[in-house]
Amino acid sequence: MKTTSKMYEGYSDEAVLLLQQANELDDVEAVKLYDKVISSFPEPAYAYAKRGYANHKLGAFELAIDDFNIAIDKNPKAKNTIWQRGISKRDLGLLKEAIEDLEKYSKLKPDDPEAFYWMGEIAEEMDELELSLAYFESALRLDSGYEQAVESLRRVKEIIDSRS
Amino acid sequence: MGAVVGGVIGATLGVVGVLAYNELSDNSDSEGEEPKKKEKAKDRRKRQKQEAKDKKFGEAGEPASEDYAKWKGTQKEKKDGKQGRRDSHDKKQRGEPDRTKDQIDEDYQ
Repeated sequence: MKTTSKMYEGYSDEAVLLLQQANELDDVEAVKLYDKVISSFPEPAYAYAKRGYANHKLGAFELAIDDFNIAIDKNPKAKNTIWQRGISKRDLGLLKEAIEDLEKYSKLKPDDPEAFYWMGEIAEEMDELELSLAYFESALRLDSGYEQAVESLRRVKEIIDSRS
Repeated sequence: MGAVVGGVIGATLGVVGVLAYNELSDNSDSEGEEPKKKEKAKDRRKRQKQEAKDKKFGEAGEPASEDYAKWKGTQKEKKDGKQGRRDSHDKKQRGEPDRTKDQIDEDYQ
């Protein structure tokens, strides 16, 4: 079987079949296939990113981050993988690092208000309220009708007012 | 009703056949729908396991919302106490920020 997709570059036809099968399996079983593919083909980035995503969904955030690190080293412009590493970091409680990843994502995709919205949410969790406000405002500059950002901005302003 | 009919045809079906017939009859309803097949224990365990997994992690390809919701609730409770958590829980949340399989694929195409 020949494939023209760039994401399968560096894998044998048999490995591509395993990667495609993994898409149809639950995450526990998919991770086993990704392990198998990675052990035979450790160079391409794709299987690391996919295993990272499966590990994230299984709640194995540290393993997910390890995989995303490898995938991003190999493909530094993989914006969705950078985003997802940020989310794994957030779920692990590494909030500052999570924001750093979402900032990196924003540089690769500067027109996405959602990144600023989530940075605002995470900054609020860190109790960095002024920073949080700035992120929500950035989200609204990109999309003035972003309801969740409007609501979060109002909420954070109220918290700041209640403390002053 | 199933027991009576089962008794009548018991001579041809035998004891096991009657028990099986009664069980199937008791699962059918008065609308005359097809009787339901009994779910095997193995299949039931498999189904329950899958349901529990879907509940925890979401359907394949969908964001894993519950972990984040739980974490977020804990953070909120630390900051604002239990009432804060309840208030937060009641708010409508925007879609979760996890990427999807397709979005991850997009990076490598």
